[in-house]
Amino acid sequence: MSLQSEIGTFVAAVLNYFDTAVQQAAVVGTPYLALGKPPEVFDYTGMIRISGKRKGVVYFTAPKGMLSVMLMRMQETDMSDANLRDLVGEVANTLSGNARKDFGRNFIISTPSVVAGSSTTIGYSPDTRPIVVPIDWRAYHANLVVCLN
Amino acid sequence: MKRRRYDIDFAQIMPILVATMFAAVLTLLLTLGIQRAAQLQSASGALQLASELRSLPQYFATELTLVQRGLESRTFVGEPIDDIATARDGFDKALARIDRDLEAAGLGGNAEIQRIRGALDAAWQRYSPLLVATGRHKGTPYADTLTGSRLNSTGRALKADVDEALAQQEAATRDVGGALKDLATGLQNAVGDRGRSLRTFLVIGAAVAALLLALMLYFSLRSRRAAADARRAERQVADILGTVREGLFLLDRNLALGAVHSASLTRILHTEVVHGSSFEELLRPLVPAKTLATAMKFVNLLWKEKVHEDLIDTVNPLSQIEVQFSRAGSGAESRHLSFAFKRVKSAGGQGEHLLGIVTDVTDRVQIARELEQSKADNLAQLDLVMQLLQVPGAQLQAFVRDSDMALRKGNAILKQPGREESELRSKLNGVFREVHTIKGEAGGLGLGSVAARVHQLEESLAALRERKTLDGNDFIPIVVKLDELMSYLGGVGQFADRLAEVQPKGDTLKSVVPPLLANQVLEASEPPLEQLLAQVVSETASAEAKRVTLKCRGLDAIPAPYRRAAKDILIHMARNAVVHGIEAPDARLAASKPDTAQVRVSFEATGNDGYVLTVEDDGQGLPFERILDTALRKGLVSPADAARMERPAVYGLIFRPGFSTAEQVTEHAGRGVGLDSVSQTVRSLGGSIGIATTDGKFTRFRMKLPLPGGKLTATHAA
Repeated sequence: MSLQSEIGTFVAAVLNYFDTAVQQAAVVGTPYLALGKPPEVFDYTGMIRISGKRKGVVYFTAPKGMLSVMLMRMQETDMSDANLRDLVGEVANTLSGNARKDFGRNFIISTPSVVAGSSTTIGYSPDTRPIVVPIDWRAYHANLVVCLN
Repeated sequence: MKRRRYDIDFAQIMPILVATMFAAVLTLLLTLGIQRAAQLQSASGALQLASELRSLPQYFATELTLVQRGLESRTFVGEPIDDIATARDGFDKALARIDRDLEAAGLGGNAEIQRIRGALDAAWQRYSPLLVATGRHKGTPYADTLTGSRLNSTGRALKADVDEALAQQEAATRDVGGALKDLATGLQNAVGDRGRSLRTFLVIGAAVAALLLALMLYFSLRSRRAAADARRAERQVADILGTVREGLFLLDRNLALGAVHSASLTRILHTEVVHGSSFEELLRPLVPAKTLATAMKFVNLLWKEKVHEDLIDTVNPLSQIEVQFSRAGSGAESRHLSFAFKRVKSAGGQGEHLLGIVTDVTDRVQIARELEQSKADNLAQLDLVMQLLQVPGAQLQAFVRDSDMALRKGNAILKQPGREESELRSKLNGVFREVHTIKGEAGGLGLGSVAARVHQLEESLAALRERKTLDGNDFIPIVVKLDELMSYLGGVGQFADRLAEVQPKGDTLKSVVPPLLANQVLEASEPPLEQLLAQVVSETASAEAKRVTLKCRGLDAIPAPYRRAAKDILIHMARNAVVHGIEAPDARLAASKPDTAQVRVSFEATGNDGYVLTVEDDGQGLPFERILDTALRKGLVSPADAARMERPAVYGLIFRPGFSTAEQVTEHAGRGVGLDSVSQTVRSLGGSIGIATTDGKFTRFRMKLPLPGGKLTATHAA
């Protein structure tokens, strides 16, 4: 499977999450390479680490406001930190599920994890250039970052 | 007429055959038993009658005696006479019943019984008339006189008959009674025989029924065991079909899909597989119409017994096909599938089905491609090294630096916000321009491997440009290739750094490859533009099979702020001049021109107005008609506008993004990017472009550039 297809799988997972769970479609912006400095990290980030045929990290990072509105769309009234973490964790879980389904046994995918805080540093190999896929939803902006070598 | 074969499974019908046979035997036995029972009943009836009749001779004797004594005592004798008549009738009727019973009991043909019956009849026929005679006298048998009653003639006749009957009574009793006794004995024996016969039938019947029951139990047990085995086998088949990674299915002679298939089939084909649906319909969305038609012919061939399936497998059009599956939200996914077919033969050797095996071989194809790519990469690496060795280290470093900058600019364009269709197209054209600049310079330096890599990225960009609509997803392949190109150029950069360390400044590695331009003095930071342009023109002319000389003037005077831009502009313009402006040598000779063309490049200061950068070729001139036709075909202008357009406006069309009059896309032309890039660069510097051209003579581009910091109005003029 090519890197292009793999990124397609992750993008499809995120878009599908918006379509089904949030029931309002998100739009993909033009992807670009994060050059020079690490990609921007927003308030909450759900990530999976991958090893095997490829190594690296894939994460969905979104601002608190966006996640709160997503929860509202999902008829949730609890906007606590724990619930916001759960939400990005759920997106990461979707990334993991789609990757397991599409990539086969050549990939080992970690359990999804969640970090909070925009000052967080997500570690990745210095040899790789992260590919940032902007995810626009309503007036909000999140990023799907694929950093695989 | 073709005879149809019927295959009989004896194991399956044996229980039915045996059960039917035993049921028939049992029915026969029961029928015969019922028949024997009926005969026994009739024989018993006859026996009972015979036994009852044995007392009648004595009865007759008693009644006759009563009549005799009554006559002697002159009493009333009518009653015993009537009794005799009644009993006699009863005897006759009883004999008739005995005959019927004997017939019903199957003793009508029994000689002994018939003999006895004949003796009885004879005895009765002798005796019966005597009894009849006693009843034939009518009237009172007495005549009353003064001396009392005496027998009258009737009385005397009656008495004579009674006396006669009594006289024969002993013989009659002996004969009739003996015959009845013999008949009773004979019937008793017959009843015994019938009873034994019936018992025998019942015993046999019971035994047959028991055997039948036992057989039924045996077959039932065997059937249950077979059913259990069948269920187990069915489960195992289901387990296999649920586990196997290949998509397995059956096709009948109508090429309709069978009832069972492996679970993987649905996953591999990304569609539900319906029993009875046509294989052609299953394939239709996966392959082009031509492949579908060939595939159906191939599959139909497999039904022909004379066709060797292993031999024709080599022409299987579905042995490896690339199919596109749509994925929600992420466009299409490309997979490689392999279909194989095997005849499934029954025990009789007749082909009943085709077994289809479909495998997703994407990983295998990918690995094979990666291996091929790896081999190609190794060769390309070697090729690249040879190419790099021929380029002065400093020039190579400058190329890598400029290329990296162009790619970063392309990436920055992608990063800009904007997701509207027009914005996405603008991004696409921007990236195209940056990338095209790299290709031009790489080609000029003789770095064919780099140019080929950039060309691949351009292919993806060109494919996007052809799409009617764009979204962010469409740029995923672009960013991936951009990343790959950056990595590749990074490797070139590392090599260039090492090369610069070992090379004498401004020289190629003379010990390895003879220098191309050994007499030139190069500065480490700024390799001469004239040299680069000479290489660009030389490479392009060689690829286009044209003869061109380049003459440069004043390029050393290009001020530092314009050097990078001038380099980009001149590389595009020089390539364009060779590809589009210059004719092939034969055409030049035919037009009475020297077969070697000239491209002249100059840079001159024009005082306070700034500078003029000129690129001129002595080629065929701009093809006015072809430009207009191309613009009309691409829908850039309407026919009405085209009719009104002046020449300068038509020539201005060549600067539009994606505009090219080239009939084929090559590594050097056909994308319609070069002049767009030049136009954008000149505009960004605040300059303008002027065109002068004469058919068959020349084309000249004059690019006016302001003094650094100043601005000119950007216009095109002819």
